[in-house]
Amino acid sequence: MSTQPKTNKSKFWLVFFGLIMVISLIGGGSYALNEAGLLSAATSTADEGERGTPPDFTEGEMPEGMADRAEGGSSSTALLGLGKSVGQLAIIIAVVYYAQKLFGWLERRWQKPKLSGQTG
Amino acid sequence: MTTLATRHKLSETARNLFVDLAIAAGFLAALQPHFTGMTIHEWLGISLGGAFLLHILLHWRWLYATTSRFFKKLARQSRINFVLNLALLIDFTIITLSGILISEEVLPLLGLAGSQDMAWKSLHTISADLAVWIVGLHIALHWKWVLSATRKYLFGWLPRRKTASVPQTSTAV
Repeated sequence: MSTQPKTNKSKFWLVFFGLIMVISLIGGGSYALNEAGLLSAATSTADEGERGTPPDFTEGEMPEGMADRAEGGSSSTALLGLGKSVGQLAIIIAVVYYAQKLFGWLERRWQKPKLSGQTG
Repeated sequence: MTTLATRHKLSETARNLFVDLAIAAGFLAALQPHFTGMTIHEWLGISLGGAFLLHILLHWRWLYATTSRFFKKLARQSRINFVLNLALLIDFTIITLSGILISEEVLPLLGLAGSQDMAWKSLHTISADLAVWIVGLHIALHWKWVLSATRKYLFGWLPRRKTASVPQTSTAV
């Protein structure tokens, strides 16, 4: 009885330091990959050395969309982006939730005759 | 004794719900630097890194039990959750690390210069886009819990809708 809190405490610290170790490994690993030039190779495959056309802006002015990115605010770009993320999340949640329900229903339907056959 | 245990469990659920709701709101805001501005985006991102760590540590018992049983007998749902959560941990670590490295506001405050490496910028964007999908899946797998906890702790004050009493046997009436 008295050893229970102590065991729990040691388990918690095990999880904590394990987590820190995993995070360090992921961080260190991605840093090492970048130093080896593997990250830039992986992330720039879409560009293939070609640069996109720069946005129109006159000298001394920030390109459109960059000014509100620095300062923030509820511009149409910002609200559209927020709406897009919320919508994306809602679609994923709805699809997965109802797919789970459907699978559950199919599973139950599949198992029903088997069970009734066993009892009867 | 039972009442105390139940109360303790209930308050734990409420605490988890409020932490999760704060993380979800912060995550959505952090996804839009246009909305928050770069300074808030960066500080919010760093705070979210800490909040994710807190979220994981609040569920440390589940993490310990699932990790120790992962290669043994384990429920399918728990196994899927574990793999998804690991993907989320990897993704958020990359987002936070790349975000700190390309920082334009936080690092200069500490007297350090942010990296101009385009690879980190690309990685930050790609992993943030990926995070929306993984977070969506993570929420979807816990949607029943989210709904019931939200109903109980956020809308518990609302009067409950009375369900019509259905007679046990229709022939008795």
